[in-house]
Amino acid sequence: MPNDKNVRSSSLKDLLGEIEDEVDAEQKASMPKQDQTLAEIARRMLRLERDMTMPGSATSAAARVERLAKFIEEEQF
Amino acid sequence: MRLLSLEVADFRSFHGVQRVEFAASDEKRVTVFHGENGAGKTNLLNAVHWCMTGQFTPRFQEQRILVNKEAYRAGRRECHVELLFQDEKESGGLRYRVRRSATNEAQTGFEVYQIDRGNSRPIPNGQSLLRMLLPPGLISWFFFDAEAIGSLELSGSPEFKRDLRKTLGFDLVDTLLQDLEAVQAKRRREVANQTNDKELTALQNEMDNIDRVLNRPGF
Repeated sequence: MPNDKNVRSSSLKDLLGEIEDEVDAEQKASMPKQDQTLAEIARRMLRLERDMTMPGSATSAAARVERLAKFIEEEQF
Repeated sequence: MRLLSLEVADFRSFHGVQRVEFAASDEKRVTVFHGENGAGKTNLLNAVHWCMTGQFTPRFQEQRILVNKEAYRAGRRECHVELLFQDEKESGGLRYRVRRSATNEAQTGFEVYQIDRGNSRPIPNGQSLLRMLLPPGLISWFFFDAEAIGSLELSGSPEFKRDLRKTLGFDLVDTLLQDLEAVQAKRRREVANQTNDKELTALQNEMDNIDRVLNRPGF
């Protein structure tokens, strides 16, 4: 059962998360268009790498290189 | 990682089964042990250290005598330490129980369990999990003998730097950068093959060899 302290702690975490998202968005908006594109691609690439190295579903280095090469090929820089 | 409780049984100066609950809530998260010299504070520290790693802090004396002397005289030949801890909420907040037992001659047991809704599930390669949660290069920063703080490695050894990056989550970026270098080398090789340029192929082979040497462990 959530108590007052838990609710406060959760609200504070949500607020910090929102502030972080806002700061990220502001930083991104201040970047030149090309940098925004690159930052977005880097973010997606990092997410792909995370999925490929996640414990339990980790792939080999050779498979990761193949998948990253395909990812780069398909991206619009 | 939050330590939740510790149980020691006939370990060093602790006779019989002794249990301590740590302050682990968000509001109260510090547990202080206060005692005279020889009261067992270092033994308590080493109970945690040994349970997690199988090793002791550097200045810990008489490391071969683990079973409490009085218990030994009473015919008991084995001691154990059991630690309950919880992973950070951001990492899933999973609870684990680690139990290590030994005689004065050898270790007799080591088990790691994941606790899910009151049920314990054994984890096959427990030591690997513990190394991941608490990398060896960082252990001395969390569990150290305060009287020997002068000998603590503060200069930042390569092992410490590596494990710190890992703990902060930079290992994913490091792996990605390594993989991207491999993608770049792959592309270069493909270009060399497509253009059928022997000089370019030879140069790429040479670069690959240099990379292999540089990436060799210990280089």
